[in-house]
Amino acid sequence: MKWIQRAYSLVLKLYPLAFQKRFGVEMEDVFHIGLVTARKQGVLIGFVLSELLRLPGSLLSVYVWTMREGAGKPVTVSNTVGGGTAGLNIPSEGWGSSLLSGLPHLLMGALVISSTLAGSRIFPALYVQAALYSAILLGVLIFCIVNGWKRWSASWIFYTFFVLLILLNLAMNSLSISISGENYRLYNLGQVLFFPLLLAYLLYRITCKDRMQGVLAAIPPMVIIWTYFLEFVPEAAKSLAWAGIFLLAFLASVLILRIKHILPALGLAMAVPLFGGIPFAYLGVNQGGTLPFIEPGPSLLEVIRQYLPFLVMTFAIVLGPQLAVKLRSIGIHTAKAGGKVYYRLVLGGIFLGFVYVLLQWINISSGTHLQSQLIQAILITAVILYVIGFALQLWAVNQSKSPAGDYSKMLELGLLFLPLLFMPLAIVLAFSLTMGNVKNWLVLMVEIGWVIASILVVRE
Amino acid sequence: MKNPGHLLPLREPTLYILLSLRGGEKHGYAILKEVYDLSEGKVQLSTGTLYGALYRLLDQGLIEQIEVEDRARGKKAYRLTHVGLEVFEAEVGRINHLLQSVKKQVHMIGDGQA
Repeated sequence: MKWIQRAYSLVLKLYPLAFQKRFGVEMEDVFHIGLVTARKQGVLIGFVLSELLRLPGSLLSVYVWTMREGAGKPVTVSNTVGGGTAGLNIPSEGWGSSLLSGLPHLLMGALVISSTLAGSRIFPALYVQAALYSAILLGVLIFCIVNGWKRWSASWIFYTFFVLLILLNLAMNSLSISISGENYRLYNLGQVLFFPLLLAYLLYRITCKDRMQGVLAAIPPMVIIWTYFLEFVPEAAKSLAWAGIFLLAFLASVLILRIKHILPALGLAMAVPLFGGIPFAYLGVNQGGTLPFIEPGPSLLEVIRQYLPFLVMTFAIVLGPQLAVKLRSIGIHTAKAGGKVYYRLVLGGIFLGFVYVLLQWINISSGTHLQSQLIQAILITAVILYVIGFALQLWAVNQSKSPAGDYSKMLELGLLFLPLLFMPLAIVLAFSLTMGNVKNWLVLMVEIGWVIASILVVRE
Repeated sequence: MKNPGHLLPLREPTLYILLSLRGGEKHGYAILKEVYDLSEGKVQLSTGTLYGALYRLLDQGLIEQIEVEDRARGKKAYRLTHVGLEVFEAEVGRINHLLQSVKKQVHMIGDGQA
């Protein structure tokens, strides 16, 4: 009897930490009473089996509920109705959590640098290393879930998906699966379309729960994206560039958990590509394959011309979800006038805007010719949804009788309009500039203006 | 509180838990036992299933946890909130309506065949 009770106490450890704290003792008591009763009735084995068989379902439902509602998380003080914690009251975390937040960048840096230096020479070792990393990341992911999604866990999410993607590619290579024709088209659609959209949605959901977590979760993709510049760059130079940016990401993630305000956190996150991206752009232009085939060839001006728009695009990864959460908070404030529907229309428009950008990118980069009518229809729908959603949201704010004052919300909404609209456009323009199709410094100025406006809107 | 309709239909174990608590506050084990009795043995909750459901119902505000003096079976008990009662009654109304519709349809088919 005692060992069954002890085993049950151990099984309870599988539940999320917050759930254990709330119900653990009670569950042990209830189980004990059930055990004693079952023994008296001579159905002890049946009772234990019944508890065991229903355990997976119970665990699953508790985890699903915990993740869906954010229940069981340690309570953080929130002063935005949208659910995200705002800038002024976020408690700072201890050094242990801060280091855990930075650790994935060091691990991933080691993986990327060793695979860069190895090239294709020690392929099996690389395969083992990637498998080991995915096991670590998966283990951490489970640990994060069990511990109630502590703030540091946000740093690990992207890399978990990223390593799985690497593993998938390695597996496909080693299995000699031919990626050509229709297969390539599907493969490209899957990677270039599905993965960024999933990432955008995940970043938005994470930011909805906790804005600081949103900043942390955006750092890994802001690092990895610079790989764009590294084609044909020598391995040693590549490794140095990676070492620099991963080290910056580590430092920024550690420090972000030590501060309480959203604005310096954003500043730290944006400093990673701001400084870490320079070597990539320099190497791409001087030693790699990103230089457009035009005169006068590699120059400092060319480096800046490629670096700045790409940097703006990188900033969109961290600023976009923050802007979306601002809009969501206004939508929830004006729920009685339909705000919850209208803000979703706006975000739906932006999401379709991303789909448009990515499909265009697939057409350009892979030579795949997706139906242009379909792509145009997506763009038109995106714009219609966006404009109508915004107009209705404006109307909802006007109708709402919120004690906080409608004027300030109208102003906030007005300020949000352009930065949100430019989120997919920032990507289009960045690519156009980087590809050398547009040589308009005015467009670049608009993009930089977008970054400044976005920071002003999301700073509180 | 939103329209209680958005939580409907309730799952069978949830309905029985609310039904059990409608009779007054109860400890975890008492709920477990009463659900078994009320459902005539058809719904047999495990400890994990029960507390998973209580966790969800507490978060939804349908029930609340209260401190009680009876230490023999833990210090906590659960009771239905006003919102919980509303949801329960809405579900009973929904089931009644469904039953009436079915009866009516069956009756009409029966008449037609006769």
